[in-house]
Amino acid sequence: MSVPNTLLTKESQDKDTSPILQVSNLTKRFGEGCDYCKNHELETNLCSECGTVTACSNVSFELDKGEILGVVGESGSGKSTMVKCLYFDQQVTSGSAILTDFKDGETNIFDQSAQMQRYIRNYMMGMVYQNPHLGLKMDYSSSGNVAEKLISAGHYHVGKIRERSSELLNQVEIPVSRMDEQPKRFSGGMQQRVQISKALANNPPLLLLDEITTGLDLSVQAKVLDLIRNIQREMQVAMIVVSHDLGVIRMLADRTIVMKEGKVVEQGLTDQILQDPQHSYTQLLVHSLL
Amino acid sequence: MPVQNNFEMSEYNFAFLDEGSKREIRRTILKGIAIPGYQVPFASRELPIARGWGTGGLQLTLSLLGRQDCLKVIDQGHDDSVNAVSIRKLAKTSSGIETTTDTVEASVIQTRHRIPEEKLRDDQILVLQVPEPEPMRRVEARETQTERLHAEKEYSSIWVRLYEDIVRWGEITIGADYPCMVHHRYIFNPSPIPRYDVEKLHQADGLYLFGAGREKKIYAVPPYTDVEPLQFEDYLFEVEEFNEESCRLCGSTSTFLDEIYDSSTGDKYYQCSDTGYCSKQQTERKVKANVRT
Amino acid sequence: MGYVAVTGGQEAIEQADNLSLFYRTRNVSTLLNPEMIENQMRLLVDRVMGEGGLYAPEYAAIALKQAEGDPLEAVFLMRAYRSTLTRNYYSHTIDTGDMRVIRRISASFKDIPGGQMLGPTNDYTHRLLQFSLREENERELQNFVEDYGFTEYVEGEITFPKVADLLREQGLIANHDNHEEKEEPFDLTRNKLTYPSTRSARLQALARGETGALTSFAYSSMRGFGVVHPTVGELRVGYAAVTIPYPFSEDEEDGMYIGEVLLTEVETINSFSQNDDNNDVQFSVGYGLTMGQNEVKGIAMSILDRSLETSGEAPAQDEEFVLSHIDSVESYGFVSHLKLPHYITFQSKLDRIRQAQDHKSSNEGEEDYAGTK
Repeated sequence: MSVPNTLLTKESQDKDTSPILQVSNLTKRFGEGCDYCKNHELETNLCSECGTVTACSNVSFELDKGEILGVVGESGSGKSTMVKCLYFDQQVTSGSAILTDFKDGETNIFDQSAQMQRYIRNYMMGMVYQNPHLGLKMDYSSSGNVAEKLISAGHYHVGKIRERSSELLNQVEIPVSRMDEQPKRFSGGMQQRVQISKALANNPPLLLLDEITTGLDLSVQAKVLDLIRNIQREMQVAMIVVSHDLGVIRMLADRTIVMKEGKVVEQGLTDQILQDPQHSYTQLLVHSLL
Repeated sequence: MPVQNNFEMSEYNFAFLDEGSKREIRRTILKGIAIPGYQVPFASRELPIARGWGTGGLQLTLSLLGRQDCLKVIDQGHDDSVNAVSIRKLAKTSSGIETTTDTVEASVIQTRHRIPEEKLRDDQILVLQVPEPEPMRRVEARETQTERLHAEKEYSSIWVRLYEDIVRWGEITIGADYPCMVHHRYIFNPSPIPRYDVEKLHQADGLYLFGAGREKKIYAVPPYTDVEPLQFEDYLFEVEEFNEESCRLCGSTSTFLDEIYDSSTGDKYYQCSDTGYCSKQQTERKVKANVRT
Repeated sequence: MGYVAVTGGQEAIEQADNLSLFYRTRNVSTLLNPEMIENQMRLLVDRVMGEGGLYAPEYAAIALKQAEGDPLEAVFLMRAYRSTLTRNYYSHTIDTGDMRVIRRISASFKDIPGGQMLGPTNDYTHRLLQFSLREENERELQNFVEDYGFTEYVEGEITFPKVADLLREQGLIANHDNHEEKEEPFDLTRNKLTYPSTRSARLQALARGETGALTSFAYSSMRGFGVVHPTVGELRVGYAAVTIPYPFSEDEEDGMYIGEVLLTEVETINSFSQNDDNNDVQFSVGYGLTMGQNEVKGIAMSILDRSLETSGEAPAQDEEFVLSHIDSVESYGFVSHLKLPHYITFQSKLDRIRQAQDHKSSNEGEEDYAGTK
């Protein structure tokens, strides 16, 4: 399921429809790996020979500008590991990812220095974690949390930082009067919204959302999902939405990939997958939704 | 009357430390000079003064001293402060070199918390004692993490700390030991000198060396290096304000002043913290007064 | 001008030294000589040697006298002296299996080859304050020593096989990574400890660590903030021979005997785990070694050795946290440095708080820029 070679050459790219992100053969192993698991197609992600877990195995996909890609699968399917690799929270074992806006659009971002990866994170990506403790400094002000992202992209004017923070927080419906409160004093849904505004701070072309509504009340979930949809519509930001909940995927994603045991078992238009699931695992998922 | 610390010079090497250790420290200094603001780890030796009391500075000084050197030691700007006396005594008795209280005469100056008022020349070295070399410790306790932040030049967390200060207090509340960017690469702690002294480091003629004995780090600001205190475009770095107060002894209004309370009346008055400079000014004032009369 | 007490610093220090001398000696009837400390404060001397990283009972005794009995200060004196000494040789690895043992116990087995040997210990002595020590009689004590007949006992040269070796032979104990054992050990006195460290660096840092700090951290691990609650496989105290490479020999192993050192060695046996290499289920061992007789430190060290091999959230599992805070010279120095003048930094702080006050009062009534109240 690798990206066709033609897409990697510049000549064939049509700027407007070319993907902003191309991921090829992303593999992440926890453990040393052995000849057996490196060279065989395993049934599960756990190698019976050496105990290595292959969390992601040759994951490939592309993402277009302004598109929302859903990634669905049960816990342990490798979907969270995949986005954490993309955000450099975890180091990939092998594979490549290319951002069209980065350098010449032909550079594997996984090969970049840690300093350069910071740059990519700060300028070109936003991440919203399931657990807001991972994405926010709970003891700092909410505006300070947004400021961190702005500062890391070279903004050093307090007045302007505050202006932008209040604008962003306002967008996610955190009132300006509360912009300097600490996230730890907020509800779970509000914390997620602060995370979203932080992730959006530098207008990144790519937003990564990892199970962001899991654990929230249904009514709060709906609000957060609405917000995501509005953001996508207004800002034309591309997103990868990871969720175990096909309902969330159905609401947000244009296209969807289905992961199981670290592998992509099915991908296509979300509607198509919902109406006519091919893989038995996808069928199971879809049926449980109905 | 017998006094403790009788020190038989002949039983110890010149300048206390063995030559191998001194050489190792000088090599570390060279590395520090080559990478301005970078904290170079070294195997800090235990000295007869306590960790946290200037052992980093003292190891630098002892390693640098040759028989021709002339040493000045100050603490809080003061030559006669007890800790300065103690350090000077150890350096002097173990090396037999000349010491001075005059900044101009010294080839090596060891200091804690101040940079002398008189400008450092290109043939002088100022050695600063450092309690906490890690500027990022304000936001991250672990060395494994702070080393990574430096390597990746990821400094947004300390900037956010300054931002939070402004949100909470309307200003940056860091007093002494104000974090600065050295030559556009490393953020460093200039040691707990007042903000008033920070600008002396920028594009200076002399060499500034920093030693942290307990934390086992050495770093340097070589001559003609850019040193910029962290500041926002609209919240600028501010030095201490003395509101036109002047030194009670020499009348200076352009020096860093100690705030002092008269023990009998309780009245507040000010006095130069750099005592060597102050006494020079006093003498000059007297000479001028005499000339006038 | 009482405040400016720092002028006349030189004189003040001399007076302080004299006053200390005065306080140390004003009520003296019999002068304490270092030999008395060396012989009668045996455990304290051992502790100071171990934490000072210098095996020199006489110097430790002098340090203790000079420090008026403060072990932290005495350790500091030993370390400072050590800094002036040139490193001439590295010894061969000491073989504790050949130790001339004076005490040796196992909590794991009732019977061990060679048997349990209680040796000199107050473990089972009731801790009743012995007022009779006021009137100890030198004559009587000398008679006691003569009657005890200790000399023959020493000449017997008692050595025992190690309990851990018995288990190791049966494949019940996981050996530590052999790669590291073959490597040149880290030298803590010549390199800055960095993290993650090697096991040899960790063991050195622990061996020089402050007894109380080690004990506290180990206790925390046993009590619940951690995972280590071991069984003492063996605790042995005895004299081990030290040899250095014979300078005129090609063969590295050729040794020259330079003396023997009293050591406490502890091997604790911990929960078992599966060996990654061969899938055997084996006990893991914690190792402690201290200079002199310092049993609680030896046990604590072995617990921490083991604890630091595990990963988890407990403080005693955090290498940087444990190793950065157990050195008494560092902790003692830095905590006490607060006694130094901090006029300048305080002045700088005063300036900031006054500014902050001004800022707050000038903003009263209008909306605070920062929006926080």
